[in-house]
Amino acid sequence: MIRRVKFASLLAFVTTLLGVLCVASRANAACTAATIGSTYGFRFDGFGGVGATHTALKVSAFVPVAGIGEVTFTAKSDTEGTISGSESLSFGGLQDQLTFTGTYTVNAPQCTGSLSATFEGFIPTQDFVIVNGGEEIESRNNREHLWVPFRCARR
Amino acid sequence: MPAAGIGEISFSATSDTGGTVSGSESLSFGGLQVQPTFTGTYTVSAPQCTGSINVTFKDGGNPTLDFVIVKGGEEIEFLQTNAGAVSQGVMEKE
Repeated sequence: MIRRVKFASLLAFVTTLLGVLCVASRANAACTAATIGSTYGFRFDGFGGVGATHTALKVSAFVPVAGIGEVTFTAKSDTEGTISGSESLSFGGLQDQLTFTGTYTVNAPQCTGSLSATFEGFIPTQDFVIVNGGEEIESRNNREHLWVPFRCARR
Repeated sequence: MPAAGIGEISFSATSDTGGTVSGSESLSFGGLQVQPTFTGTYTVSAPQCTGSINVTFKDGGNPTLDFVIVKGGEEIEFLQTNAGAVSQGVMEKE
């Protein structure tokens, strides 16, 4: 009898826990392009390399990269929008200040997305995930020979 | 050369667009440990919530930083902009 009661208690606990997790998951799943429709400050650091395409580079081919900036997301539909912003960056110690425009898409169920920004002759693309209800965006540059994670925080 | 550090900095606004800074830091520069103090000035560009800081260390050195204000001023993301430097970090309100 005692064992049966314990099992029932455990089952109730697990059921409650699953319910809480499912509610939290459903609440977090409500991402649209408008979820991040505001201005964020961002910071990044990592490594960038120069070399032949589709070729793994040696460590010595990379230089450190870092930067900060601001980006504004403007939703045009539930899944798409435009971006614009500016950044100050150091590429191996060479300092530059750039502006950019581009587009982004959001995958609603996963709260993930991608963006494409056009700089002066340079079009990096990034994958991102929306976290903390849109207060922050974790991102990474997926251009070849770049290892540069980004962190965006709402301004 | 690798460098890392922590510190504290105080901002005192003297106008809508700028003010003065002062602070101290504990720094390892290639393993050489130093604890400098500094003073300087800062400016803020209101529409973008970006800005810059110009600092003078008591014992020499004049780093400049670009920054962006986030989380309503709770944090500042910064980048050192001196030629040859690749240095960034975050300041958090105490």
